[in-house]
Amino acid sequence: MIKRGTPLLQVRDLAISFRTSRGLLRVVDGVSFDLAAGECLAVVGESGSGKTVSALALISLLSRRQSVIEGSVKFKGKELVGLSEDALRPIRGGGIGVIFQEPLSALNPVTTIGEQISEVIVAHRKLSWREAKKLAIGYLEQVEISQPDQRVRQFPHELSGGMRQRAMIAMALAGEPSMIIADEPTTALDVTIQAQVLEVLRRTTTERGAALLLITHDLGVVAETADRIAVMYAGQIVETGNAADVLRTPASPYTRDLITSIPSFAARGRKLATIKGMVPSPADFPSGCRFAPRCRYAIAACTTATPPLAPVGKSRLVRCIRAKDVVSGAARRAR
Amino acid sequence: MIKFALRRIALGIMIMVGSSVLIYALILAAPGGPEQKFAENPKYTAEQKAGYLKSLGLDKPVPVQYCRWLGACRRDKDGLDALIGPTGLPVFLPTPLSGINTGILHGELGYSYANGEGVGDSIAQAALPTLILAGLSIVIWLTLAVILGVWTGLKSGSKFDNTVTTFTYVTSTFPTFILGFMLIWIFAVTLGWTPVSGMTDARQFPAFGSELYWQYFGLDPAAALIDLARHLILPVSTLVLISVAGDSRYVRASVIDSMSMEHVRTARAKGLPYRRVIIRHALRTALVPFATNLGLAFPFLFGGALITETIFSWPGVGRLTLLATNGLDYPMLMAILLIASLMVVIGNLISDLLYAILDPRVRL
Amino acid sequence: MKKRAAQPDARAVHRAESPWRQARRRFFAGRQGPLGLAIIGVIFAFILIGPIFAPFNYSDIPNPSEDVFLGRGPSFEHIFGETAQLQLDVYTLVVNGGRSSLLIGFVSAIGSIAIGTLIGIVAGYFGGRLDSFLMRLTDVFLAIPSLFVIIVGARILSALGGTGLQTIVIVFVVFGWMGIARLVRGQVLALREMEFIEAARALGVRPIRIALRHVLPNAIGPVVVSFPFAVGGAIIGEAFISYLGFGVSALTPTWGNMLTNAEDFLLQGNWWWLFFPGLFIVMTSLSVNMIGDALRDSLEPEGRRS
Repeated sequence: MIKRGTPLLQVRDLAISFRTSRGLLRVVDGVSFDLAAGECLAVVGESGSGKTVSALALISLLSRRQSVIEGSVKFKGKELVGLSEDALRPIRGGGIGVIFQEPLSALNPVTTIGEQISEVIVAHRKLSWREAKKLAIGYLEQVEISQPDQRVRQFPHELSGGMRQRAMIAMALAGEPSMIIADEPTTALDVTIQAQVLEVLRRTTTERGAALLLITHDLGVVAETADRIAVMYAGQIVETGNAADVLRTPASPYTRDLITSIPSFAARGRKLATIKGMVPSPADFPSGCRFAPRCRYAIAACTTATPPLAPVGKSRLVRCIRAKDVVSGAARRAR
Repeated sequence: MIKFALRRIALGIMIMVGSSVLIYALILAAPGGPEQKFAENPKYTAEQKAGYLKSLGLDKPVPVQYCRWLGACRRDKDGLDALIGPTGLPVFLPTPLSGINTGILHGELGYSYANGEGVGDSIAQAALPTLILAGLSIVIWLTLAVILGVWTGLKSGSKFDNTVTTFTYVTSTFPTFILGFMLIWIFAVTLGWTPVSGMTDARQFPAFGSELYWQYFGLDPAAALIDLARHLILPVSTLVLISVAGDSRYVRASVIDSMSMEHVRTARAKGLPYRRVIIRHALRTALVPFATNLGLAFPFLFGGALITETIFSWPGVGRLTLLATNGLDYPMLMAILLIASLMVVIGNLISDLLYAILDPRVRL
Repeated sequence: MKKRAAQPDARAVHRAESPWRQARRRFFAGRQGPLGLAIIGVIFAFILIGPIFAPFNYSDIPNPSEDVFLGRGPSFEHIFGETAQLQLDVYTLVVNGGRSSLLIGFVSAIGSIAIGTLIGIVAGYFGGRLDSFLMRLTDVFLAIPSLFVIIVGARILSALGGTGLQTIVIVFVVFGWMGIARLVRGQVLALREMEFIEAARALGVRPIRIALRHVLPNAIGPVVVSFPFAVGGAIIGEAFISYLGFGVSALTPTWGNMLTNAEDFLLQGNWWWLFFPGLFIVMTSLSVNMIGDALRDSLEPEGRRS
C-alpha cells in the first residue's frame, strides 16, 4: 500500500552511460521527475534527447552488458536500479507495462496475437491458458478491436497498423499494471489513426487509474493527452511543469523555441522559425548549459556551469538561469 | 498454402526438365560414345557405321534423341506422332496411362557400359551404404549443431563461446579429404583403434548388401552390427566434424540476431519467465531459417558423402559415381546426375514448405 | 543586441568516414583479418621466393637410390624430405605446386565471380522476363550438385584432351558462378527500390551513371566477401579432383596431384610427402576463410545494441 502523497514513481538523478569503443559515454544525466498515480506525464524531446533511453532504463530494458545505470528509480517505494532480472520480472508487465513504437517489429511475427496477450496473463496472474485466452478477448474488446474472437487467432502482419498498436495496448493492460510507459505510440501511425489510438490509450489508463508515461516528440499529442510535461534536451531534463502552463508560457528557451517552430496558420507568409544548429551528440556535449550554443538568451555565464533544475513559479522546474526573462518574453506575446 | 505448395512443385518440375537437358547436353559433349568405335577403326565401312547408328537411334537429331531418352517420345514413330502413345494419351504420362514403358520417366534408366547390368539396380545397391553413412552423420551433426549453436548463441561472448567457436572454425576450414586422411593416420594407422577403410571386415563378412552378407547377418546380428559400427566411426566423425561447424555457427548467428530483435525486448518488458522468452520468442524465430537447412540436407543423403566415401572406400553412391566417371559409363552417369538433381529439387521443396509452415508471413 | 554565446569547445569533429574506410578500419581492428592476410602473405612469399632457395629444379630426377625407395625424411638438404619412388625433393614440388594451385584458385575465382556478377546485375537491373529466364537458368545449374558435375565435367574435358590448368579453371568457372549471381541480383533488387536511387532518377541522372556510381559500389559488398571463399574453394576443389586423377596431370605438379601419389606410401611410413602439401592446403584454406569472414564482418558489422 503506498502512502498517500507518495508518488507512484520517483526518479532521482537517473544517469545512463553506454560502453563504447572509446570508453563509457554518458548519454543521460541527472534526470529527475515524479509520476503520480493516474496522471499522464509526457516526456518530450527531439530524437537523440535521451527520452526513450531513460524510459527503457526505468525497468532495465537496456542491454546490461552495454549500459550502466546510476541514480534512483523508486516504484511504489521500492528501488528498481540494481535489481536482478529475476527480481524485476514481476514488476515488468505486472507493475509497469510498456508499449513500443513500432508494433510490427515489437510483436512476435510467428505467434498469434491471442497468445501474446495470454502469456502476460499467465505469467503474472497465475491463471490457466484457457482462462487467459478468454480474458485476452476481453482486453481486445477494451481497446476497440473489432471481432476480437477472430483477431485472437491472427498474426501481427494480418492486422492494420492501428489495430496492431491497439493490440500492444491490450498486451500492456493485460498485466493490470499501475503504470504504462508508452514510447512514441503514435509516431508510426497515420494522423487519423493517431487520434484514435491516443484516445484508446488515455481512456483505458484513466478507467483503471493507471499512470501514463508518454514519450513523444509531437507537441500536438502532448496538448491532447498530458497532465504534466517534462522536456528533455541532450540527455537532461530542461523543464517540467503542468502541461497547459508550459505550452502556453514556456520558461526554458529550448521549450520556447520548440513551440514557436511549430508552423502555424497565423504565421502564414512569414519565414518558418527554426532552431539554428544541431543537437550535440553525447560525445560532444558542451560544458555548461548544453543548449547554450543554439540559444538566443545565452550569456557568458551559461557556458561556465550547467544550470541546475530550479523552481520557477508554481510547480515548475527549469534548467535555465534566465528563465524569468524567457517567461516575460513569452508573456508579452500571449497578450 | 496449397497454392503455394503447388506453385513450388510446378517450379520444381520445370527445373528438373531444365537440368535433364543440361545433363544430356553435358554428356553429349563427351567423347567415348558408340561412335568412337567407328572413328578409330577403318575396317568399318560408312554404310555399316550408318546402319549401326540407325539401330541405336543415333541418326536422329539431338532433340529427338533427348526426347526418347527422357521417355517423352516413343521409339517406334517419328515426328509429332511420337508424342502420343498407343492409348491416345501423351507419352510422358506414367506407363499405365500412356502405354509406353521406355525412357527415364518410365523407369528405364539404361544399362551400364561397364558391366551391362541395369543402372537402376546398381544405384539401388549402392544407395543403402550411402544412406547409412550420410543419414547417421546428418542426424548427429544437425543435433550437435543446434545444441552447440543455441548454447553458444545464448552465452555469446563468454569463454565457452569463444573456445567452441574457434574450435569449430578451425575444423570447418579443413578440406574434407585432408581431415579424413588425418583421422585415418592418427586413429587407424598409428593407434590402430579403428579399421582403415571399407564398410565391413573382409575377413569376416562378405561384401555388404549381397545375399551372402545378409545370411551372415542373420546368423550373428550383434557381431555384424559391431563390425559395421567400427567401420562407421571414422567416416561419420569426418563428416560430422566438417559440417557441424558451419551449421552451429549459423544457428549461433541466428540466435544472437533474434535475441536483439525487438520482439524479444517486448517479451522481456512483459516480465515473462526467462525460459519462455528464450524458447517461445527468441529461438522460435531464430530456428526458422535453420529449419530450412533441414530440407537442404535431403540431397546430402544421396551424394553428399562422395569425398568421404572415396577416402574410406565406402561402397556407396559416391564410389559408384567415381567408377562411372573414370570409365565414362554414360548411362550410369546420366542416371546418377538426374537422381542427384531430383534430390536437390525435392530438398528445396521441403525447405520452402518448412519455411512456410514455420513463418506465417511467407504464406503469400 | 543580445550577446551571442561563445562557440562550443572545439572538440575534434569526426572526419566523415566513407563506408570503405570504415570497413577497412574494422577489418584491421579485428584479429581474424590481419592474421589471415599474414598467413596467406607468408604462403605467397614462400611460393614466389621459394624457388630461389630450392637447390633442385623440379624436373631434376636425381639418381634414385634403390635402398631408400621410400624416400628420406626431412633433412638439411631436403627440408621437406623426398618423395618415394623417384625421390624428388618435396620442397621443390610444394613450391612449384603452389604456383599452379594458387593460380588456379585466383583465376577460377575471378572468372566465376565476373560471370556471376554480370548475370546478377543484368537480372536484377532489367527484371522482367530476362530476370526470370536467368534465374531459372541459375536454378537449373544449381540443381545438379556441384561436386558431381565438376567431377564429371573435369573428366569429360580431360578425355577431350585437356589436362592442363585451363581445364580445371574452365570447369570451375562454368559451374561456379551461380551463387554470386543470386547474391548480386538480390543486392541489385534491394538497391533498385532504395530511395537514393529513386532520388537520382528523379534528379535526371543518366541510367549508366546511376548503374556505375550508385548501384555498383553498393552491390559490390557480397562480391568482395565471396572472393576469398571462391579462391579457397577452387584450390581445395582442384586438390580433390587431382587427387581423384581427373585434374591436372602429374607432369605439372599441384598440391592436389601430390596427394594422389603420396597416399599410396602413407601406410608404409612416408608421411612427409603427404603432410607438407596437405599443410599448405589447410593453411591456405584457413587463411582465406579468415579473410573472408573478416571482410564480411567489416562490411556488414554484426551485433546490435538491444
